[in-house]
Order: sequence, then structure tokens, then C-alpha cells
Amino acid sequence: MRTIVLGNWKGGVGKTTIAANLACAFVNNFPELHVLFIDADKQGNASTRFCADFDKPNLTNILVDGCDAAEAIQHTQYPNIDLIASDPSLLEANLSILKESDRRQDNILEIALEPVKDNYDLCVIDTPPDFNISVLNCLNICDDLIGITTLNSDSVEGIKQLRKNVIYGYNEALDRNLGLRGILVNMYKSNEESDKCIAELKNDGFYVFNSYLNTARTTAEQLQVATNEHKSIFEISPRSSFARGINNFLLELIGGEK
Amino acid sequence: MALNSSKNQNIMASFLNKKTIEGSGAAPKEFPIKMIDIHDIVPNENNCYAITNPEGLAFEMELNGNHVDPLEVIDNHDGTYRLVAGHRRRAAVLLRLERGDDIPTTVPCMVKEYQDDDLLSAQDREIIALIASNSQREKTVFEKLNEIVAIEPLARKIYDNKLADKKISGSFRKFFSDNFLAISSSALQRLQSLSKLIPEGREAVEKGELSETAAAVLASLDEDLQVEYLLLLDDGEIENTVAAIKNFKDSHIQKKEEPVLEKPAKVTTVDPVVPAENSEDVPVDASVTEESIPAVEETVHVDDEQQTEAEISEEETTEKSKPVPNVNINALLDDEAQKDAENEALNWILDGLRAQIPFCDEYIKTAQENGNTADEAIWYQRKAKLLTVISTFE
Repeated sequence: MRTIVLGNWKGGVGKTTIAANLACAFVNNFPELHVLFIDADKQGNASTRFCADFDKPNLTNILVDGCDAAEAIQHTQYPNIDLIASDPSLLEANLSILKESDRRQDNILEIALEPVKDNYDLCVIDTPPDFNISVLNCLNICDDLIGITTLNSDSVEGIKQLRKNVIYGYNEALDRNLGLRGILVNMYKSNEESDKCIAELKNDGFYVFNSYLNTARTTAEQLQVATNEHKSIFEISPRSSFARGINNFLLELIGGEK
Repeated sequence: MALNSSKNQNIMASFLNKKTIEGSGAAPKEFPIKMIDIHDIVPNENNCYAITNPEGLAFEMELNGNHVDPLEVIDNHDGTYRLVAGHRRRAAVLLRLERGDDIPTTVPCMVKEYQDDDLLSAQDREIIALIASNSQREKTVFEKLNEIVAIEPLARKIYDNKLADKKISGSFRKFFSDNFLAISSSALQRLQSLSKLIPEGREAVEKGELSETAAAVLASLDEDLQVEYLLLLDDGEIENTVAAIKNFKDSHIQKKEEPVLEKPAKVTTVDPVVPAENSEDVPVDASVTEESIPAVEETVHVDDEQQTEAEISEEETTEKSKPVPNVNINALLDDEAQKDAENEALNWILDGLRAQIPFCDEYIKTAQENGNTADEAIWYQRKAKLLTVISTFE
């Protein structure tokens, strides 16, 4: 099971939207694929997109109660996408596990997923713009860390903070070797400011994916509909700029070298 | 890109617990090796191991270019260091210095430091290290015993902790013997029973006059009986076998108290069969004593007052509820019928005895779980005797 984690310390850059649509893009293009989506954000937005049953056990139960992954995994409206949901109780998990001293705090999710991971080819994880125990557990199982950014300085700063505080801090504290696979540009508008931001990122040593997710005139509206109706962009407007962008990114992701 | 300031890395590390940091494979704290003067190194007062043949080691060191493997010490913070591992090496080096060998007075030492953690104190960890560093030695029985005595409370802490976390299940004894001692739990029990052995008994074991198993049996006797036995052993008037000791034990009437055990929350209200004081002497014959009949009868219920012989023999095969046959008194006068009746009576008795066996197992299990070796032994004996008696008459 290959695990892709999407992150940025800046909120609102599109992590959840991209993560959910990316998962859908994978199963659309590869019908035999089985995808596990993990919502690691206590806002639970991705869970809502996937029509989660919030009464079922979720990520909190896995982290705190030692609940089996199999119990917390639920089906979504898509036959080949399963979900481990989150809700505000994840805050409790994040705080309470910090206080624990008897067990390792970083590999709880990894251990829980062990019995089920062979059922899935891909795992897509949506993370919050923050660092906490649940994010730590996601990094622990991460194969590809993708930074999502929009092209303004705040967002770019968020990427830098992600690298500095999370990646370096994580690698140093736990003797790991996690790297940012690359940066995916969202809400791209072809103008000078955008290009400046991209250049800055590249100069700062970040790899920027060639596929940009454009902001066409109607993208925002389409995504708004998709979000509200709990659908993917492919069900609302499969030939939209955003949909094509996601597919291009997918190709780059799987075709590109690590 | 240069790494950012260490301040940020430490923040994450400072919030995560030790288990996470260390368990992740992050580099553990390194223990420096210092050259320390041998005279500043003192033995550990908790060391219960004998230092065997330091001269031999001294000789080896001489042959081996004066090489000394680093000792493990803990700083006493008063100029001295106490040993965790290396008592024999220390003795060998001191010997060599005494006889004037031209060697340095300093030896390489790994200066260790144990921390308190949530489970065990630094001192506990030190004791574990002391014992662990001797895990490869040949140990005398009593070194092993001392080891067990020292380590058991620590093992118990770990066990209770893991049990609470539901990481393990099962009895403490099994956990202890499986994980801490490379011996079976019955061997552990034997070793622990040795703690009741009188000093003369210990001597006998150490001199090889008595085996560990025999000593374990001897240890279950009262002290004066142990003395008596050992005197006989010395005079050559008794064997040193387990059987001999058991006979010796049995031939002295032992007053044992009825163990107070919780009855298993099961079917009947039957009192378990009480062994007579001198149970070996009383043969069980077909005539059951008055006292035991009412007790056993409670498991039996009368189905039908009027039962034919055919029905009786049919029902003889059912274990638990055996109807009391309606024996015609007059028929007893007939030889054939008498024999049948006697056989029936015998089978009835044997069934009653067989019914006791699951109770014994229950009690044994309960005793094991409670670590109650005395009760376990009693019920084990009772079960064994039951089986013997049953097989004698089957």
C-alpha cells in the first residue's frame, strides 16, 4: 500500500479538495485499484465529502482506544474507495497521546493498519495545517509527501514552515529520512506574481510538479457544487480544467521518479 | 540548504515521550569509555555471584597482551565507581598488580547511568543489568535462587503493567519463567521451594550429595524433619532419592490443615473427598464409609423408583446422573445377583471418584493462578491419588 500524504501549514490551499479528487481520479483511471482514504483533520471535511457515517469508529478510536483498523474502515459512495474518518474528537487524541509515556506515539496507526494494508494499493491522507500526533502517525507511514500551495507569499511560507518544522524536526527527533516529494501548485493563474512564487520555491530547493491546477473562470463554482453535493469534480464537470489538472498530476505522480 | 537551528528540532523531541524517541531507532545516548584506576572501582553490594578462578583470568590476560574488556560501572560521585559488570576482571587485575606484574593501574570502563522510568527505578534497572551480565555463567542453585528473589518483584511490576495494558495474559509464574528465566515454570517452582531448605540442606546440594529435585521435596518438610533426614543421610541410613525422601515424609504423620478454597462456581454442592490423614494406608474397597455416602449421593438423583435390571445396566454408561438402582434385598442372597450388586456398587464408587477429578483440576488451576504453591501441590497429590485408586479398581 503506497501512502500519499498531502500537507501544508497554511490552511485553505486546497488540500482536502485535491486529496479527495485525487483519490477519485485514481479509481477512475484504474478501476481495479483499491484506495484507502484517511482523513487526519479534525475538521472532518474530507470525511463529509466521502459521506462518512460519523457514528462509526474513526481515527480517534484507532489512536486512543486501540480500535482495529478494520472496525474504523468504512465504505464510501465510491465502490473502491474506503475511508477512515475523523471528527473533532481527534483533538482529544492529539492531546491525550502526548501525555502518554508508556507506548510509542508515532506508530500507532502503522501498527493498526498492518492487518489491512494489503487490501489496498493506495492510501491518500488529508492532513490539517498543523503538526500533532495524528499528523505524526501519518508521516510515519508516508511514502510520498506532497505539499499543496497556492501562489501567494503566505502559502509559500506555509510550505517552508512545513519543511522546516515538520520534516526537519521529525527527521531529527526520530532519526528518519522523510522528504518532500514535491509541491503541487493549486489555483494557478498565469501572471507575474504567480511565476515569481514558483521561481522562489524552486530556488529554495523545492521540486515543483509540472502540472498546475488552474483556476479557470468556472472552477470555483464547479468545486463549490462538487463539495456541497459530496461529489468529485469528475462527476460534476469531467472535462473541466480542474479535472484535467488532477489527471495530469496523477500521471506525473505515477510516472515521475521519486 | 543548511539545517535550521536546533531549537526547533528539540521542541518536537521534547514533546514526544522517551519510548517514541528511542523506539524509533533514534541514536541512543552513548556511554563514554573512560580509563579508571582499578583502586577506584568497588564491587557492587548487590552482586551475589561468586568470583570463580580469578587466577585463571589473570593468566589469560597475561597471554592476551594485558587486554581487559571494558568493565561496566556507575559513577558513585565520590571519586569511586561501582561495578555492574566486571567483578572477576577487577579481581584478576588486582591480583596481577599484587604480584607485581607490569601493567597499568587503569582499566577501560563504560560509565553507565540508569534513569528512573515509569515502571522501574534506576536501582531496579541496575539490578537487572547486574543479573543480565551474568546470564551466560554457570550458576549454582543458590545463585539462581538469589537471582530469582531479586528479580521477581521487578518482573512483577512489568507483568502487572503489561497485564493492565492487555499486552499479555496468563499467570505471573508463566510470564516470569518464560521471559525472565530460561527455565520452565515447574523448574521455577522447584527453585522457589528451595528457599525453605535449611542451611545444612543447601550444603548438601552444593556438595552434590543431594539433587535439586530431591532438595525441593526435602524443602517441603518442617525444619526438624529436614534435620532428621539429613542426619540419616549423613549416616548412610537413607537414600538421597526423591522417592526416599517422599517415603520419609509420608512415614511421619504430617498434620495438614484443610485448605480453604473457593468452590468453583459450578453445579454441585459436593464437598471434595477429604483424604484421610494416612490416606496411603486405607485401602478403598467396595464398602464405602458412612460419611462419604451422603456427600456423593447429592450428585445422584433418583429417576425412577422401579427400575428393571435392563434399564439399570443401560444407565450405567451415563456419567453424571446415575439413578440409584432399586436393589431387591432378597436378591442379594443369590450369588450371581450379589456379584452384580457388588460390581454395580464398585462402579458407582468409581464414578463418584471420577467426578472429583474435574474439581481437582479447578483447584489446581485456581492455585496456580494465585501463585499458591502449597495448595497446588496438595490438589495435585489428591488428583494423583484419585487416579491411582481408580485405576487400581477399574
